[in-house]
Amino acid sequence: MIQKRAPKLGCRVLPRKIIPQTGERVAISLEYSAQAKPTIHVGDAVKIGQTVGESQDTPLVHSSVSGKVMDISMSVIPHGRSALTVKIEADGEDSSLAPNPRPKCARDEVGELLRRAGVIELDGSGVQIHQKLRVENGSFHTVVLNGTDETPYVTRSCSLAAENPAEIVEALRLLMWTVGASEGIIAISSWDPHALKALEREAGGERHIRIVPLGGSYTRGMESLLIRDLVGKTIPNGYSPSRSGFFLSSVATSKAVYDAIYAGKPLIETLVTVSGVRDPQNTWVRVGTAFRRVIEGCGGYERDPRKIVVNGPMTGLAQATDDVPVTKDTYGILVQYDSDLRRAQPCNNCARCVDACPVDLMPNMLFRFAQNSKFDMCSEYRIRDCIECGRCAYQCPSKIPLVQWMRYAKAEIGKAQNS
Amino acid sequence: MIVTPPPHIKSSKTTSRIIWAEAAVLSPVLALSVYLLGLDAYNTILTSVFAAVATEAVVQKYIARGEVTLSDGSAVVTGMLLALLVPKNAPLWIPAVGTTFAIVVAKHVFGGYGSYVFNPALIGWAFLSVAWPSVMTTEYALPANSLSNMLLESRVGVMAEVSPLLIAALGLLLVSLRYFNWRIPAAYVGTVALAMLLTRGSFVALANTSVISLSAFFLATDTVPAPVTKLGRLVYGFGCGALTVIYSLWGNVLVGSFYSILLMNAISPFVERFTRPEAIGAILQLTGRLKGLRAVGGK
Repeated sequence: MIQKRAPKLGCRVLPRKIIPQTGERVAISLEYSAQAKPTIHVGDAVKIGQTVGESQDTPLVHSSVSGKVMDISMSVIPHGRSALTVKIEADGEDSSLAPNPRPKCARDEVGELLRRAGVIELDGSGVQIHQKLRVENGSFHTVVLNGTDETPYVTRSCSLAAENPAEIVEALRLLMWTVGASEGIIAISSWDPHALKALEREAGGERHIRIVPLGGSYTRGMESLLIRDLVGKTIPNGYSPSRSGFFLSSVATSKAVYDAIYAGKPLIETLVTVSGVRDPQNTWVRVGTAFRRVIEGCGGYERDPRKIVVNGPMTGLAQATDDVPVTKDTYGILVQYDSDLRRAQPCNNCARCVDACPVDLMPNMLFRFAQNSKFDMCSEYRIRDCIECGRCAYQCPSKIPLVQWMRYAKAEIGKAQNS
Repeated sequence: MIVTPPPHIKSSKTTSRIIWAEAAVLSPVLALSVYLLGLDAYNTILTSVFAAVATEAVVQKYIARGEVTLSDGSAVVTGMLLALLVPKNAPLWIPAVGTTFAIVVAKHVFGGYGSYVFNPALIGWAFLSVAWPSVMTTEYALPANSLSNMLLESRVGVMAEVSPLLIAALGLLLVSLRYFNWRIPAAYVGTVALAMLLTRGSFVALANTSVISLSAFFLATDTVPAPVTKLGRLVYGFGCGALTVIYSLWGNVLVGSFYSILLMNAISPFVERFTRPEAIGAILQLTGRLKGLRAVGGK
């Protein structure tokens, strides 16, 4: 079992803020899944909340600082590729546009309002929330907010739930009303009792809202497995939870939803759990702030850094440089040192990977088949079911990069099918 | 900065650490053997471990011409296990030849650690038993029914018999610390215990020989030649136990428990193949398919 590793500060600690200083540059990426076109020009003065990029059907992108647009060009983002990025130099005034709250909006307006406020789905599923909301009323019976923080080191949902329980529950009510669901569930990690208590206090007495504490072991928060833990229904490979009537979102998204609708603020900052630094903490970071600046804001490196990992050590990407910007979907930054790196040894069939796999695969066999280019056997052993959670590779005493092999085999199978 | 695929954290239990843990818990057993059996035991252990380590080094350096991986501890453990299996008064060339054969033929011919299909220490023992049966045949101190004999016994044939309870306790320690998985030893011991219960103690010999605890906790738990599926490991442990019972009914417990593991090693790929796990949500998929069929049929 992969237990929660607490950062040295508990998540009860009030999240801090890192605010860009005068002259500091933020790099706001205009792309996540689709391309947005810039709406400003180099040399323009912008304020916080001003739209800097838009496209037909993706969330708008807003400036996270007030200052001057210095450059619009391709640069590296933490997703391991380049994207069109607006670079803004902060003027230190931190002035924003007037907020535009819409608490009395109509049901079919919610999705568009969220899109205009730049709210993206923060649970990592890749489907944007305004697209998910664009469904017939009544096709969902339950709204599930995932706050399990299943990834080791990350505690931001706990932090959010402990600090802003009212806003999260209110956003849940809004989402339930919007999709016409009769039940709402918030799954929260049982790791921190304060978060659980705060939510229970807030939702107390409401029969159709349930707060479910889940043990902190890793993979509990992953889509279909979360539904299995919550309601005992197993969703097979290839089925999306929405087809079974579950509207799945996250606690972090719900906070953004609340801010967008009730406070009229666009999504310009994200709560990030920063670990592996001198002063590990949950901190609000403006979108576009460089990782280096965030790490400095949290006490800096402990010693010579070897790896910087974004969004949790189990599935996150290692970064080539600390010069990449925080994006809307950044929720964790972890710095690793020499002592965290390990070498591979031969597989000894110990079966720990088999015991660890949440979807009952045999990672050891898949690894051997992939190593010998027997991709048909990989298919036979159901490699498509692999959710790349990394539990096998975590447990492997021989430190074989199993996830890398899974991805390689999947990619080869995909190539063969496409040709 | 270093860029690698996820996950970026790994458990601290490495393969080397698991093997060295095994060596560490076997040390008290070996020390007890020396205490009870004297310098002969000491010489046997040293010869066996030294021969294993030297052979491994020579094979890896001059024949395989690869990396020398003595630090993983597997050669040391093979040497220790073989020392526990040879008769206490055997001449010193017996453990030396046994471990050399084990390392060269049973281990490196198959590709080294992680690739062998039979437990090397047991292969070394089997080779010695077949080649020099007169040296390898031992007399047992039977019957030895009392608890003290289970804890400290000097009238033994092989070192593995000096303290069945200590070996079992150390094995349980490794299981509880998750160095060994519980499935194989539990199924093994469970099967033997059940057989003893059913025959109301006619397996006194079985109960009194510590080779059962050594086999169940230290030989059958060698994961390399064992199946990996959850059910497969239970079947494997059950098979080892059942074969041990059958062997000891009509033969010798010592020989029986060792050959039972070698026989199960041989069929472990089949066990694995027939116990492959089902797809997650397979039942739901099936009902979905049935519903689909019904919908098509209805139209």
